[in-house]
Amino acid sequence: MNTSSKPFVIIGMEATSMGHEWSPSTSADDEVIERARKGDLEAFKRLVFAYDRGLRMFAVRVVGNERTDDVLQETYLKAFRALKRRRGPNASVPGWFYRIVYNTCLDDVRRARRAPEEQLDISVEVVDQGTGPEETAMNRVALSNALAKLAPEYRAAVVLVDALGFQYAEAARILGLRRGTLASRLNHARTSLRRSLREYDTRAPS
Amino acid sequence: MLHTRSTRDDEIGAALRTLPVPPHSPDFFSRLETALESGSPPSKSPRGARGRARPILALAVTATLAAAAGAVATATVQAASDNSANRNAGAVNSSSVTTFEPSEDWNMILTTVDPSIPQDVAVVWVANVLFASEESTTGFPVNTIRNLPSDGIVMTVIGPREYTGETTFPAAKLPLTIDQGFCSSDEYETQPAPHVSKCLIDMMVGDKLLNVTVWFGTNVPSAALYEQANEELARLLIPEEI
Repeated sequence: MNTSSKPFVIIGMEATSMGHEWSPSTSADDEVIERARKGDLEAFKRLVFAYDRGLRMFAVRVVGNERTDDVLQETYLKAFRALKRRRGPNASVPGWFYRIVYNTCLDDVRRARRAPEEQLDISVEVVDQGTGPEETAMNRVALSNALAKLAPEYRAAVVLVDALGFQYAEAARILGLRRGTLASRLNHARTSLRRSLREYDTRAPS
Repeated sequence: MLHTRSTRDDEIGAALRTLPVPPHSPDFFSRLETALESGSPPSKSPRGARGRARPILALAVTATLAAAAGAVATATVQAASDNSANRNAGAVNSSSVTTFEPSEDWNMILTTVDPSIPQDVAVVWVANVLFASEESTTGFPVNTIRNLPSDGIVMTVIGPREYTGETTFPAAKLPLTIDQGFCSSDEYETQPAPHVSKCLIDMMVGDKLLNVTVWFGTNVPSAALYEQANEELARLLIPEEI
């Protein structure tokens, strides 16, 4: 294993400063994946760099802000260990990462359910970032509330497909569902989100 | 064969993408690097450290904004998928809130939206069907119950809560079972739909009252349906200290 490397924190800073876009189409090249598969830690960090933004966005919506760091740490460690045994085309590596993070999220949710005093908080710390009018921030509050009312499995479905842009087939593979089940969950999640947002609209002062 | 096209809801997707994604904790990558190099489990983030008491409702928005929006948390919906839940746990619960560890494919809603019930009294619903989507913001899952299929079950649990009435109720024997309750079917008062039967299990837990109602989508529940309901009742977790 190659463990000589730059401090990892630099990668995190790069990820932020470069405004790296989260998207399932974001991918590392084959050479990096092959090196990571052989245990090259530096190459693995580059994979993390390539996928972290989207995985983080996904995990935040499923388990909440406070749990996301730990879920992602666990995800990356699992992925690093499992990558060398992984079979399948490199093109499916992003989906493979999402599947690991989803399963890790569900494990976390289950642990929280077994310890009800540790209820998950999937709220979003909504602050006015100065990017729009107050109403925009309030809309985010309403959306955050609506999302929080959905079960984690439903949040995962709607975030993967609608926010992250995965095709149904890939999203179904990630979530371990049939396409029909995925479609049903999406329908439920979208209906619920739309209703909540409409309720907000009707309550909001004109 | 069901065909599902990959349709995307761009409006919802765009809205979801406006939600902020908080940055990593400052030591995120250094902790990860240490874990990767050593192969040992990553140390826990101080941010996500467990053990703190958390509000049961999963919604906590920045107070000022929440107040400004006039929209505070009312309910949280959870779909269970935990095969490994401890079936023998269904008695007392170290937390202060009544809840379930529902079986796989059962769904749960914790809610405080019924204005007739004090906010500090737990209200939890579970069902082996999906709750009607609007029910998470209502006080009672009436639409889900009215539309129960013949193998459908909904349970509603209120309490334990202070009780000062004159009616006496038996002490709860945990885990609760259907045969501890009083069942009604076929044209009983307040029947939500002609095909729906119910069993009331009102029990005292200590000096507090626990109301459990089990709704079936048939007036003649089978033994298998009762068994399924009992299995789920065994997953009810009642606060240890009430």
